[in-house]
Amino acid sequence: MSGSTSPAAVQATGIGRVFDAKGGPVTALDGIDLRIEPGELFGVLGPNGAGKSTLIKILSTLLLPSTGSASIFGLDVVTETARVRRIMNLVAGGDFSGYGLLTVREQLAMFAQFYGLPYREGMAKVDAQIASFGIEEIRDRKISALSTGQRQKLNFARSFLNDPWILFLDEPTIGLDVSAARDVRDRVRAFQAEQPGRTVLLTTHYMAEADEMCDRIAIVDHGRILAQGTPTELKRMVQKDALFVVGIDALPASMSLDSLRALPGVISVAARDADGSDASGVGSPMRRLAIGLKEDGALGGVISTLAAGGAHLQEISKSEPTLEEVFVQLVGRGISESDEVSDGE
Amino acid sequence: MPISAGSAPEVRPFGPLRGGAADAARSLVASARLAWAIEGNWAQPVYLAAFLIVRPLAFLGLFLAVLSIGGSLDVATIGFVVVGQAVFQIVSAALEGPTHALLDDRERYRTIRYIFATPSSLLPVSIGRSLVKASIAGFSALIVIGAGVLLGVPMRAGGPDLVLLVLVLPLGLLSVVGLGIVLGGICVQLRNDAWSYPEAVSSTVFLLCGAIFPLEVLPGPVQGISAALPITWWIEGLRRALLGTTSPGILGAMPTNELLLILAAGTAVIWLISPRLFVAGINRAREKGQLDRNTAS
Repeated sequence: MSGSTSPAAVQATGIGRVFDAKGGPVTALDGIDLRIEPGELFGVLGPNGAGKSTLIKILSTLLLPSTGSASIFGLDVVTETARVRRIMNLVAGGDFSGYGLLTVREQLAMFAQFYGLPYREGMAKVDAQIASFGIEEIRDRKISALSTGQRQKLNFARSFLNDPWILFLDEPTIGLDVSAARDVRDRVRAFQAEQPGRTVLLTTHYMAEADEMCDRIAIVDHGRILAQGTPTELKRMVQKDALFVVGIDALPASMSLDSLRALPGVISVAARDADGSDASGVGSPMRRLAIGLKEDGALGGVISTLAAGGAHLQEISKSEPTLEEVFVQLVGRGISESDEVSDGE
Repeated sequence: MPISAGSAPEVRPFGPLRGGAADAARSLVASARLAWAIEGNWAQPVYLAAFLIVRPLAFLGLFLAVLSIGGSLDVATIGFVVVGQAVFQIVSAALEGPTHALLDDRERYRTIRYIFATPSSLLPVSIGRSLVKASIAGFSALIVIGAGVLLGVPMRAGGPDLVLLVLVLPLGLLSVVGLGIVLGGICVQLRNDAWSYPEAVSSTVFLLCGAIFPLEVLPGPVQGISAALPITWWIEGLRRALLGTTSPGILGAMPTNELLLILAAGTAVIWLISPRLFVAGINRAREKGQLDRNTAS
């Protein structure tokens, strides 16, 4: 995809951002290169202070970059802001925004005007979004009386009013309960499914959310992209070999782990007990074999050998690393133990 | 039509790009509605009444009390103070309005990022909010003038000079709103104490513009600053329209035609530069990362 010459949904080249702070300049972004194709759901995964929100602010025209350039569907985010704002929208999580004295419908109507929609068309869209989000019962309720989940639904309803080509979602599920978060994810998927080419840039520090939703993910830390690719590609970065777990009742007496290791295509074989702990010691109750292979095709030889030796196979599964493991390997620490960096986020 | 890269510059999701003026008018009306909802939607009507009626009357009483310390107050002096105090209700609301709107949206409602990220400019949004605040303050101004009548202030024989009033009122209001948006463009760049600047500026203008005492009381160089403020001429124009009298000193010596010319020229100059200064201030805030940063101030 990076070799394509047509304008991308997002094209960022060398984006950097430095904030002035009391203790001296703080670098929030440091040479971000990014290309997101139309129709992609692209995730930016990183700990607090990694620069995720700063990146979204620059791409959504809220903030100027210190260095580099960026465009949205070919429109420069610094010099063509009015046009960019017509084709994009933004939702941030956990900010409890809204005019408490307005009702849900009044606030949406106001934003419809700000989006430049003629009054009747705007109100029709407002009512359509209210129906679409299933918030008819709170349409005349004041925003100050809404729950967190309801406010975020309202926020999403607002963001769909101008039929954006690209939606920037900055931690949209933060602070939401499981049900509300799932609802938000479903809405985002439905938004993309409604029209081909709709693009979403999602920042999150929820690994499962990124893994579940995103076509591609960039892992950022300290303002830099450490790696990007599909979730599968990222996982392959930390586990280049295929790893299978084979459940058996017992290893046949005529067979040893070394004999399995000697099979073609086999890199490693380790015995595990029922809990997955190491069981290679003498007399250990082995239940599973963790088998590393150069390629998936080598598994056939291992299975045949085990079956020929009289082992009873109970399960076979392919083991993949989690995004958490990818993150730890790339960043050097877990996402929850990240440093709080004051970078303007 | 499917969205495709490269088609964005020509194709709009909801039709052709409308003119800036139409979008600006739409935003101004929407923000005025919002301001009306915010300003008029007090939880307790009694508090709203206190704010709009008791507060300006209390200030008027205070000023009259202070001025009476030196001796008895004549009705001319009371009339001078009443009109100045009445007009300044509107001045302070319009002057502080844009800044309060921007800071409210940034700090309290946290909506400024969503408004800024729309095709609408923050300029009509701020102006709409400010105009509504000024209009509501106009009610307080009427209350103060009504109090003046009750205190025996002789109004213009035959009623207010409506022609002069119609000319002076919008010009002055525009000039104050213009100054207010400059102030808003400055204050939105500030992180701390941004709330206190509009009030400080408003109070300073109050002392300089002849609202409460004649310009001759001020030192010579400061009188020059006063004369450069369109608000000074606005208040003088309204005194002539309502009371039918002129202020003492240089203000009173100015023929009404020339006063109108000065007010119109000053307002034109303000509107020539104030939108540019406002936009420059917003862009500077965007550059500094200050635009949507909640400072908990």
